[in-house]
Amino acid sequence: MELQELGLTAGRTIIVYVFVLIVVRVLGKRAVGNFTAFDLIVAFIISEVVDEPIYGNVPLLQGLFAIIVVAALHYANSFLGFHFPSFDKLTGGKPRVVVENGQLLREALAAERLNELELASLLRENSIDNIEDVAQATLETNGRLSVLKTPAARELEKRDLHWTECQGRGG
Amino acid sequence: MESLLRIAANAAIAYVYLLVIVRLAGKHTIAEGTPFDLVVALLISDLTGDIVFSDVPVEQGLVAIGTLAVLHLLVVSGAARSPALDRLVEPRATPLIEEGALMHRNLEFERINTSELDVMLRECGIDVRGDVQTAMLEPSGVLTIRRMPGAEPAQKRDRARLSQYLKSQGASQDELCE
Repeated sequence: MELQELGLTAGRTIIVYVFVLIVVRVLGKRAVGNFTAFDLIVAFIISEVVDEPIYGNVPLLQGLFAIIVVAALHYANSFLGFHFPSFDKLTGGKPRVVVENGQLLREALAAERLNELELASLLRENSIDNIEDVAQATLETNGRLSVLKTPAARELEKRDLHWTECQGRGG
Repeated sequence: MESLLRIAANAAIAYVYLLVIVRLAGKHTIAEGTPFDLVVALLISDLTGDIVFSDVPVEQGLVAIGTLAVLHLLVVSGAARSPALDRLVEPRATPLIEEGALMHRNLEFERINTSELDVMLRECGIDVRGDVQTAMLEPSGVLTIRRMPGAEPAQKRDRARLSQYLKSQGASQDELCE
């Protein structure tokens, strides 16, 4: 392979890098990973597109255009989801409560195809070994389980201790 | 058979090359956990696939990956030194709740609706928004919170104050030990 072509490859890499940096910046903090599974997939799509333009198999502009289209769609998705809750539910799904007041909600577990062993493992990740300590466990749209403990099982808060100072604040 | 050997050789070259690059770049570069770091890691793995299957000459793949890694290293280390560059490449933390009040404009800017905010709060173990004094959306996309006074977790030192209080109420030593 000629030196000139290697130089062009390096040049195209730099252009793609700067371009992707701008795209990720504009999409914002929610663009990647920490939100829904779909946000993560979009990050995969955007990065999967770049090899062809960098290696010169497709024109650079075509590659950048593909990235813009995916990013714009994703931006529109989160924009509509913010302004129209029903759209958000349609594309993002709804969180589902799987444990309430220490009781397994078997129908909800079945609907999420989550078996009891998996649930137990998710609860352990939240430092829960007794399901009776759970006031509410919710499978969130990002695939994580969030757990709210019963009042008796909660970590001690300051207001639980010097309650005389906190009277009237519902301590 | 020959092509299988080719794949094995290419994969080995790419693997060692990436290992060296990641070690040289250091922990703070590729695994820092900002969205952009993740994307760069994904870009590198995308470029590697073509080397393995001989879709591009090996040297071209190595140049592309090397350029990407060096560029990212320069940007990250530059950002560590220059606040201006840092602001350019990395978003700042955004307050979503301040003094217990929702920051509606910031929520709109980040396109996070209130039910998404509640999800993030539940993941912090908060079910009542009123318990939150400050909530910040960090550059990594993670929400960090500071609780209202009183709703903060109790610490060992609070125990001393509790026993002091109980003593002042005339509790005996036996009762304190329970």
